[in-house]
Amino acid sequence: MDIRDVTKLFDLEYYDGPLLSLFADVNGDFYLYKWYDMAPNAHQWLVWRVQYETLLRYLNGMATEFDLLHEDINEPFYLVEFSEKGQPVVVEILAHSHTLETYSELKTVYFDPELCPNWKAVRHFFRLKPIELEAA
Amino acid sequence: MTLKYQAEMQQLGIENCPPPEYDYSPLTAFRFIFKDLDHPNNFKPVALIFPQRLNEFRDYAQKCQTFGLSMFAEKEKRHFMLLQKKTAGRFSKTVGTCLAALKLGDTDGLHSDPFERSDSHITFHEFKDTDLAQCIINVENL
Repeated sequence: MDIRDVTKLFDLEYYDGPLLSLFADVNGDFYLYKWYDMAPNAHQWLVWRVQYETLLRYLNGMATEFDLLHEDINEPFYLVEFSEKGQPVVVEILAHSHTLETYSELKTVYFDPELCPNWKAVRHFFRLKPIELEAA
Repeated sequence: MTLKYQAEMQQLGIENCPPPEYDYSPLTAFRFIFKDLDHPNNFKPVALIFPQRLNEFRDYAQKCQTFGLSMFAEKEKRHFMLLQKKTAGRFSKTVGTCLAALKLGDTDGLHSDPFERSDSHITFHEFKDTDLAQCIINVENL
């Protein structure tokens, strides 16, 4: 993954700045940027690739946020910081076990459209891409 | 009236900010702040806090929003609890642990429609001479 080649689609959660955002690359792969923590001179973002089907299940309230994280143990979790010029830099690759343990409380957390500043746009965007949910 | 961060937005080439549908009708709004009422980030928009909690530095429409402040038009503690849970308890590091009630008048700034989102989240853009610390009418620990 080259994190410089992804384009932001939507913020899914926002309060004084994004907390969870959806990005895509030129291949049509989706990535989530989840605010992770503060470092001395940057904020840190947990970045990982999500399957379209799982993402749609999440947005439809059929999968938890933990399911998004737990989806594929072969997908790395990148810890990303932005430079002062806004360039993303991978500062660490996090272990799956550690990340899943950190977010174990998300096993009961489903997508909340109330927290989504772009819900209408998100719905519209995904309606344009029909999917066989049963096959997911 | 001039916005508090008009010059900074102009410098970045941000235009039509806030959007024309924002209005100045008075309302009571609620915002997460730090326990220290004089904390410099209590009423500072994310665009001006270093480091910036942003993940996109190219989208000018989004940059308009980053010069506004997030608030709720209704008293809601559950959003804070949920965001704490979603961030493994770290959300409070960036927004504080208190909920301030603010009485906002028509000369304090412009805000988005409180009925636009079902969670009553609004974005508030201050006017130049507004001192939001003076608008606080109540503070509760979360």
